Amino acid sequence: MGKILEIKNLHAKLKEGREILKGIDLTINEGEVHAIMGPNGAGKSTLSAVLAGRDTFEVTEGEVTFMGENLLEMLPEQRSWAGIFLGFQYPVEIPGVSNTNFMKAAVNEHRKAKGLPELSAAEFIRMMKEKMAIVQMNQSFSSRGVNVGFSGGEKKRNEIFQMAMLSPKLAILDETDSGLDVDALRIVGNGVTQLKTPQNASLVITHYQRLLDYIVPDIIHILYDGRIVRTSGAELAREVEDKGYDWIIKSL
Amino acid sequence: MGKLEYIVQKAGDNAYPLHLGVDERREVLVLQECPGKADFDIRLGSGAQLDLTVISMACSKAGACAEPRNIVNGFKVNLDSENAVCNLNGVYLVDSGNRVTNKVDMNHNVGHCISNQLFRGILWDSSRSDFEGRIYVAPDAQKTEAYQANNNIVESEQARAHTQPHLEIYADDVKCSHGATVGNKESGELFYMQSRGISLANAKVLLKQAFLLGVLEKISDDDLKEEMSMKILSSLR
Ligand SMILES: Nc1ncnc2c1ncn2[C@@H]1O[C@H](COP(=O)(O)OP(=O)(O)OP(=O)(O)O)[C@@H](O)[C@H]1O
Ligand SMILES: [Mg+2]
Repeated sequence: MGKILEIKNLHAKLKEGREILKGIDLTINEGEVHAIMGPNGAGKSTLSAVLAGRDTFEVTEGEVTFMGENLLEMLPEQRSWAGIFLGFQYPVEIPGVSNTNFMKAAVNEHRKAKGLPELSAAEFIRMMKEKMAIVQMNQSFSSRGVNVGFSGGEKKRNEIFQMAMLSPKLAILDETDSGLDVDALRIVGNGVTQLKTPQNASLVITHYQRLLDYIVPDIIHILYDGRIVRTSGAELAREVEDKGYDWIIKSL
Repeated sequence: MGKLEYIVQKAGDNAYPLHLGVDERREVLVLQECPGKADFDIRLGSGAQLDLTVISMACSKAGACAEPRNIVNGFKVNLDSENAVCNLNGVYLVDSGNRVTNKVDMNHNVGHCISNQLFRGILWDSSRSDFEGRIYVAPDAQKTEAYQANNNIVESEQARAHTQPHLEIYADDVKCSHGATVGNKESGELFYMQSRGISLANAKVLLKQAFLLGVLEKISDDDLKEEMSMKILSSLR
């Protein structure tokens, strides 16, 4: 079982000051699904942003190795080419750039990084159709501006569609379940499950058990105040949903 | 709508008398790639509609004219008859020490007319742009709709985008708005694109394209729209 991600003693702070991540250790292997839960403001989105290379945060200590390489030295786009995918808690709207042109640019840069030629127009459209089907996304979305005017649930589906297009080695899904109705949750849950292979892995950030009914995690971590304070099996999610985080925090 | 009139402007002084008769519709596209001055004298008869798009390429990659490529546009609009519609669209790309000026004088002398102004530009190096937009609504020009927007992307510390709205509204039953932005692209959009593997340089170009497309999409003729887009695209950096 190959190692995909290894985080050692990761500290990160906001550019202007405050430390948010205070020593994270986490290893993810091929084929694994990890979940991160934790109270609001614990640093879950910060961890995902730091892994994706957002420059509002500064890593002050620690190491992150992704597929054997030093992740922290890579630009965000290089991390994407290397196989990191971040499903945003709040997907960004890009007026004037159609979903199609956006994904065409993304897919072709991924191919270029692998030394492959660009896809032909026909090949690309076939690929779009196939991947949109995974999240039951209507074709009409392809010509619309990226996330522009999409409902909360449609934005999250679009994230999973993009993930399908890019076939990442590690998908970090930051609250992909929030804002989804029951049907969309099933569609997204099944979509992510379809994309799972023995060679890739996912890191699912969530507050609820409901997404984890579809994407069953091997390991659950509780992040609190910038640290992972507990790591356990899938049953922990239900316990958290019943009892909250207080009992874990008190036992520290 | 009638056929679009496409004009490639010559260097030097240019006068555009655009006087439309009752219910007449005209769409005019002016491409400016040389230094010069353009005076648009616009008068619209009742029920007339003018769609004017002016593309000012004051940048080194475009055209065959020598530098400095300063372009000055004056739009004098008089809406003297009711139910007229005047749409003014402008795109400007300015670099090195070049300068583009757009001066709009939009006069709603009578009521029940609509005017839209949409001007967008990108500035590089030590270039400069000036947008002066005056909207005048006469005391009894009720039911006027007058909108104005000027957006600028400034790509260098030395470049300057000046924007000066000037509203004189003397009627009370009107819809008017104006908005101006000067800035660089939103970092959230760039990071989102990078996180999908689009390199920073390409992401910036895509966003600039989208920014200008907001104006170019007003061109009704698909072939010319495509031609202008390609021209502009090849000048972006
Ligand atoms: N750009 C920023 N500017 C200021 N503070 C920030 C910024 N980003 C994160 N923070 C702060 O860092 C802390 C951690 O935020 P983060 O978004 O990582 O929390 P989270 O665990 O994802 O919470 P939630 O469950 O609410 O999504 C919070 O206190 C937040 O206010
Ligand atoms: Mg969060």
